[in-house]
Amino acid sequence: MSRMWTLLGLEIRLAGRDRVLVWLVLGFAMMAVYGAWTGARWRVERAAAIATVAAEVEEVMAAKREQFANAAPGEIPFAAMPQVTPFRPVLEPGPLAALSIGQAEAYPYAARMLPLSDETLFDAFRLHVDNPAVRASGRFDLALVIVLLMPILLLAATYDIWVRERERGIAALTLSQPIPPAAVLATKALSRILLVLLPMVLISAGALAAFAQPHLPGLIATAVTVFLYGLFWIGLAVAVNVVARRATTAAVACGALWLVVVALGPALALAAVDVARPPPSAIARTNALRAIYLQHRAEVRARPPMAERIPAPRIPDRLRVFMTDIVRLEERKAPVLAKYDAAVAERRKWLDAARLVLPSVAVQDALDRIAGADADRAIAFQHQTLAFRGQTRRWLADRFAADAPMTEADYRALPVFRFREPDLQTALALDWLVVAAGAAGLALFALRRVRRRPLLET
Amino acid sequence: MSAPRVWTVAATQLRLMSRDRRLAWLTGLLALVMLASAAVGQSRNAQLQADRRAAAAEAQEVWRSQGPTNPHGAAHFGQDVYAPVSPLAALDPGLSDHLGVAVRLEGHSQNPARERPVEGGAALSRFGGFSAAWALKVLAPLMIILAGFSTFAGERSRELLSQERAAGASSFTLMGGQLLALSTWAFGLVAAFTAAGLALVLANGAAAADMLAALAMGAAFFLYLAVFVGLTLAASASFRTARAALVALLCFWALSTLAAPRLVPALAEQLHPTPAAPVFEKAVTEEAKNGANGHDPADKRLAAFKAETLRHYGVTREEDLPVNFAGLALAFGERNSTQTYNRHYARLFDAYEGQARVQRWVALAAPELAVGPLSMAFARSDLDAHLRFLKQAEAFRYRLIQTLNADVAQHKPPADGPYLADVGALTRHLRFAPRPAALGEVWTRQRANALVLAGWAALAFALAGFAGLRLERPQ
Repeated sequence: MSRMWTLLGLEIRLAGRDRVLVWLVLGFAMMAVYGAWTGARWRVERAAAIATVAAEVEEVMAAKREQFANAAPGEIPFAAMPQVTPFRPVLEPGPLAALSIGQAEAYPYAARMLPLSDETLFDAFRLHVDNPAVRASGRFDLALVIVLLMPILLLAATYDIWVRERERGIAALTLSQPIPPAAVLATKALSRILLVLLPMVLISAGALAAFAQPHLPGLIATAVTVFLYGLFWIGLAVAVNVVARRATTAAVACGALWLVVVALGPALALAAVDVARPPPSAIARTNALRAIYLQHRAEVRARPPMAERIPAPRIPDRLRVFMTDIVRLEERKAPVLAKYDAAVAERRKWLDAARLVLPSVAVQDALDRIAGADADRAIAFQHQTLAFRGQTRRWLADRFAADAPMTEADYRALPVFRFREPDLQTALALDWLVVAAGAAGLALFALRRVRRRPLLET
Repeated sequence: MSAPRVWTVAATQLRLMSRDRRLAWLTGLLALVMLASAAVGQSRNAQLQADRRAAAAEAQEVWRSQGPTNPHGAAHFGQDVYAPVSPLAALDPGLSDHLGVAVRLEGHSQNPARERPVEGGAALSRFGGFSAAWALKVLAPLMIILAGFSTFAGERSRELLSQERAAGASSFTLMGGQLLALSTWAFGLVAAFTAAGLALVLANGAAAADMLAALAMGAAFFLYLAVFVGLTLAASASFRTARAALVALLCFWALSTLAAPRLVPALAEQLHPTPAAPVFEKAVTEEAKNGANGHDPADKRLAAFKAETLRHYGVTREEDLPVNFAGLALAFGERNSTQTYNRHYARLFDAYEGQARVQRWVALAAPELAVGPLSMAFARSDLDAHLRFLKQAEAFRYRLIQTLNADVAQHKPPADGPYLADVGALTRHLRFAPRPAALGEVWTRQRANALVLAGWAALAFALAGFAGLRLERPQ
C-alpha cells in the first residue's frame, strides 16, 4: 500500500509539473464562470418576465377598485362579478436556475387564468419573440460546460495516461515495481482525479454558488453529479489506454467516443424517438377543438332566451348558465385533449428513457432537475395550475350558489396558487446510478483487459 | 509543378486511402449517417406536409362553418395559417424545430407563430438531432483531419517524403497531389449530399429553384470542406510531429464547429438584446393605448376620427351616418394597432439582423458560422424564410380583418340584435398562399457568407501551398 502512495506522490508531482493541466483547469474555470453568469442573467430575465405577469393582476384590480369607487349606492358593478376574477399562477425559477436553462424555455412558465378559462390558459407563455437562431444554437450555461466541454478537457488531460509511458519506453520500468498493473493504472487515474477532476468539481460548485441563490443541498448535488460524470470520462480514458498502443490512436479513439457519447448517441436516440413516437399534431388538435367549440356555440345560440327570475338574483342567472355551458364544452373537448396529452406523455417517456443508456443525457437531466429547469417540474406546474383552476371553480360555484357578488374585501381573500415542488430525489438517484454504473463498467472493462492481456503486450 | 505528376500523386493517394480500411469504414459510416438522416428527414417532412395540408383544409372548413355570425366576432375567433415545408429542409432542417408552425390571424393583434416542435421535450432534447447538413458540418471535417493530419508530419512521413522527392517529385507537386486527393474525397461526400438533395426535390415535384438551391448548398459545403482540406495539409506540413498537427487541428475543429456556433449567438444576443414575450406584449399594448409618444390616448384619437367622419358625411350625429360607424371605428383601430405592431416588430427584427451581423463578422474566424446560415438559407429553413412567412401572414391578416370591418361598416345592425353575416362567403376570395423567396434574393442575403467561405478556402489552400514550399527546405 505504501508503494502505491509513493507512486501516487510521484504521479502527482509529475502531473503537477505539466503546465497543460493548469491551462485546462483554468480554461474550464473561465467557461464555468461564463456559463454560470449566462444562467444567472437568464434567471434575472425570467424573474422580470414573471414580475410583469404578476403585475397584470394588480392592474386589473386597480380597474376594479375604480369601478367599486364609482358605483352608485346599491349598484353592483361588473367588478363584483366573481367569474372575471384574475389569477396568474407562475412557476418561479429555482434557486439554482443559473446552473441550467434546460427545458425551462420549452414549457409555459405562467398562466393567464380566470376560473372558467379553457385549455388555452398557458398559450400566452408558449409564445416567444426572442431570436429562434439563438435558441437553436443552445444556451451557453454551466450545464453545457459540464456536459459537453468538461469531458473534452478531462480527455485532453488523460487520453495518454498510460500509452505515453509506453511510447517513451518507461512502461517496463514502471511495471517492474512490485505493484500490480491494475494498481498502477488506478494510481494514475487517481492522480488525475485529484489534480484535474476535483478542481473542476470545486470550480463548478463555486461558480454556481457565486451566481445563484444560496442552496447548499443543490450545490452538494451538483458537485456529486460533476464528480460522477468526471469519473466516467476518466474511466473511459483508462479503458482506451489499455486497448490503444499509440498516443495518436488513443487521442482519436477518445475524440470519437466523446463524439458518440455527447453528440451522435443523443442525436441518434432523438431520431429513433422521432421515428418510433413522433409528436402528435398540435395543429390538428387545435382545429378539432375549434370545431367542437363552433358546434357548442351553435347549440347555445339556438336556445330560446332565458327567462329571468323574479326577484332577480344579485348575480345574474345567465352567468350560472354560462358556467354550466363552459363545463359542458370542456366535457366535449376532454377526449381530444386526453388523446393528445397521452401521446405527448408517451413520447416524453421514450425521450426520458434515453438517459438510462447515455450518461451525458443522465447528467443533463440531473443538472436540469437540480436547477429546477426539468420537464417534470414544468409539467407538475401545469397539472397543479389545472388543479388550482378546479379549486377556483368550486369557489366560484359556491359564490354563485350563495348569490354573493365580490366586495373589495373579498378580493383580498382569494384562493392562492402555491407550487409544490415535485419529488427530486428518486429521479436524481436514477441519474447518478446510470453515470456511476457507466464509470464502474469502464473500470471493470479496464481491469479485465489488464488481467487478460498484460499492459506491455503489443 | 507539372499537372500530370499532380494527378499521379493524387491517384496514388486516393488508392492508398481506399486501401485504408479504417478510413473506408468511416467514410461508409459517414455516408450512411448522411443518407439515413436525409431519408428520415424526408419521411418527417412528408408527414409534416401532410399534417399541415390537412390542418389548412380543416382550418378553412372551421372558418367557413361559423354560420351566420357577426364579422367582428369572427375576427376575434380568427383563422389559423401554417408555415410551408421546404423539401430541402430534409437535408438541413435549420431552425425548423424552434420555429412555430401556425399563426392565429385575428383582429387587433399580430400573434407570433405558435406550436414549436421543440416544445414538450426532455433532457435529451437539449442535445439536438442530426441531419445530413450536420454530418457535413461537423463529422466530415473531422474525417478530413483524421485522414490527412499525418500526410507530411511525423518521422515515417518525412522519410517517405525524402524518398518521393528523390524520385523527382517536388514538394509543391506532392502537396498539390495531396490537396487534389483529399478534395476529391470531400467532393465525393458533397456529391452524395447534393444527389440526395436533387432526389428530394424530384420526389417533391421538382421545382427548378429548389434544384438550383440544392446545387448551391452542395457548392457551399464543398468550399467549407476545402477549408479543412487546405488547413489539414498545411498543418501536417508545418508541424514536426503528427501528434502536434492532430492536436492543433482538433482544437480548430472543436472551436469552429462546436464552441463558436454556441458562443457567438449568445454574444450576439448580449450585444443586440431582445425582450421577453410578456414585456414585448406589454409595450405594444401600452403604445396602442397611449399612442407612440405616450400622450395620445386611443379614446382621444377615436373621438377625433369620429368628428372627422361626421364632418366628411356632413352630419352631426352618428345615427345619421349612411354607414355603420362601429365598422369604420374598427377599421381605424385596426390600422392604428397594425402600425403599432409593425413598429415594434421592425425593432425586433432589426435586433435579429444585428445578431446575424455579429455572426457574419465572427464567421471570419470560424467557417462553420458562414456555411451554417448559407445552407439553412438555401434549404429555406432559416430565420429569413420564417420572417418572410410571418410578413405574408400579417399582410393576409390585415386584408382579412379589414374585409370583415368593411362589411360591418356597410351594414347597420338590425333593431332586434347584432348584424350577422356569412363570413365564409364574405372572405371566399381571400386565400393565403405563402411564396418562398426567389433564389436571387436568398443569394443577395447570403453573398457575404459565400465570400467568407471562398476567402477561407483560398486562404487554406494558400497556407497549404506555402507549407508545401517550406517542405523543400532541409529538415
